[in-house]
Amino acid sequence: MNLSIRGIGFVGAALADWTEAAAALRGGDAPGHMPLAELGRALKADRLPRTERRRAGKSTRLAMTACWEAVESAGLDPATLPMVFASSTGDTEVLTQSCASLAEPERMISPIRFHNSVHNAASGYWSIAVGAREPATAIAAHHETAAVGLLEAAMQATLGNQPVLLAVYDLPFPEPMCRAEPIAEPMAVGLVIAPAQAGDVHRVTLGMAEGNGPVEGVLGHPDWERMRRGVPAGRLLPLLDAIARGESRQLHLVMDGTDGLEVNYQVNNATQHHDR
Amino acid sequence: MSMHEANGPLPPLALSALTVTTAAGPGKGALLDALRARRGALAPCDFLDVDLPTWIGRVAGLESVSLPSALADYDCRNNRLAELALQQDGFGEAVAEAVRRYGAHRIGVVLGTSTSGILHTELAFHERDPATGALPSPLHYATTHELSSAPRYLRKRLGLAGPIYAVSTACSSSGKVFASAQRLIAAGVCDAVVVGGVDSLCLTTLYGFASLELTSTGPCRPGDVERDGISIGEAAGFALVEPAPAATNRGESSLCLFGVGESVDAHHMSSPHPEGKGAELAMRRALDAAGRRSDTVDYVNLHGTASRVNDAAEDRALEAVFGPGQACSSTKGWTGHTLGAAGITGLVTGVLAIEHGFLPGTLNTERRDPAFSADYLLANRDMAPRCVMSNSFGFGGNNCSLLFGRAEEAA
Repeated sequence: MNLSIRGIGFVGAALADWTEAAAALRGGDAPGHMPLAELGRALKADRLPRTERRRAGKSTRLAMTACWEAVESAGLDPATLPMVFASSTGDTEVLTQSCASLAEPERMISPIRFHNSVHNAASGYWSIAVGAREPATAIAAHHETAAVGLLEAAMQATLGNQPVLLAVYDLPFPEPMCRAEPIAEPMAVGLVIAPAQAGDVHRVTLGMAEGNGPVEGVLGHPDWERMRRGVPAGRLLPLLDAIARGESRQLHLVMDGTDGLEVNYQVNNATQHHDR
Repeated sequence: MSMHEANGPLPPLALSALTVTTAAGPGKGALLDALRARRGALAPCDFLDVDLPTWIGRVAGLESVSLPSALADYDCRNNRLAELALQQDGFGEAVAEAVRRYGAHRIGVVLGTSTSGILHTELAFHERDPATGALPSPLHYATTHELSSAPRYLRKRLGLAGPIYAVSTACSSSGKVFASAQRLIAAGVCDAVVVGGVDSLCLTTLYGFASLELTSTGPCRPGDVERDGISIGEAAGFALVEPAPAATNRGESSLCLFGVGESVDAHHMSSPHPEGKGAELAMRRALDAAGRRSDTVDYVNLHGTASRVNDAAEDRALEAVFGPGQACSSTKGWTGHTLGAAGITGLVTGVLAIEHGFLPGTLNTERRDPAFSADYLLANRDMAPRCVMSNSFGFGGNNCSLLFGRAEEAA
């Protein structure tokens, strides 16, 4: 499948946005740490209707912040974009609180917490915020979530011959679940993926690897590499690193039990100054 | 990797093997018998120590299902339900045949679920260390509660090596898996896909739907003027899908998925658009994808949960797409609302209607809502539908419609 990346959004590593993240990756700066308690301030929920803004959980606001940046840099109306939301675990905070409440004698679970616990909460709030009635899917595959998110979005863009919004995001579990399922950092990546056409800056060819493909891409900087391994969404960092550096690169994403996903990134430097 | 031409509707898929296990019993036959005899499988809630005044559709005997010892880490109610379903209707054998035809790496698994094995974690929270608050260790989160635990279990259990993932869009999950399978095949990633859904009883959904005052105090009565909410059920169902010509050339599979329609409401997180605008769009997109007119649909298996607003919105949507008088019914009165397995349960029910020549009339419903315009069946009707639509709608305003029927009906 021949695709292009038309827009990028990023939340995580205590960086403001994709512009800051790209500069840090390019410059070899270490990623920062974003404590869960401080995450709320970094997120933009201001474009939700007032009721939804009050109700939306942290994972929803995390995903939406990356999505806004991606669709704005792509210059596309988000209402026209099919949505692929991929998260290894969705709203870890809501899930933990629900399971804890259900172990109390009263077994109280609030209606809002209940509807926020569904895996498609983020895509639901996003579609309400932007008025999108296009198909929205919410998928998961544990540590391979980023790979299947890319695959699903690539198939939708290619077969539907239209741009698709992909959100890949993870929120760390609070105590005590974080010990059973550690997720190192909150992180979200928004990508607008479109069928390839002439003049694309960021070209991606994507398909299942066959036979002994290349080994999984790693990052040179040890702290970024820790984030790649410690957050399921971090598996996209080698692709983002290649984009940030403007270096064509052949990447390989592990998909347990298969030969994995081959992602061939090519940058067209001749047109890069037109980008953004 | 051969690729379907972009921008056209995706080609139809053969439904080469099918199975479902619901409260009616293991396998398609148990559901067929219950539908024919109009014998519901709902009962007053006796799940764990749940103290809610509601009825549920519980699959008997899951407590004694065991998984192969090599896959012991996957043990939880949800994967036991998957295992029980896998043993029915020759499903495993059909997949083994497909492996011989295509190779294990060419077969993927995409399953829907809303809560996967969350019950495993819920119960672990009852056993927290009183001093430290720590959960029992190891929790086996990745192989039980994690959303792709069931598709991963199936891949190992069936010896497959293609891509796997979970679709979790609440109650539309196991409808939407068919769209992903169509794409995996059309994009040349897979030659066949095991799709379906597994969702099992847990505290989150029982107490969660109760908190929204959406659970009925008796067996649910879809479309009844006095309907008062849903009955929660559990189910697992699977379909083996492959390109339609492949099955036809072998002289097999007379059943075909014609098209899938997906949409979202963009309206509210837990209530449907009152006019059913998103549902209408999903049904129209399924018809468009199949290249069929609405008057070729003989029967609609409704989402029909018996929630007051959902049933009303779905009727509005049906009238917009089909005009008044469309033959339809809800079969939630037999199985309960099986949430992330509702899509596959509806599809198998529709296939039973096609194969056995009857439309199941809605169970438990005495007086249909006079505001409804559809032909809301209350008794079984002898009629062999050629083309059936099945709806599944979920939280987040997420909608999916499946259109299927006899292969010779394919447009």
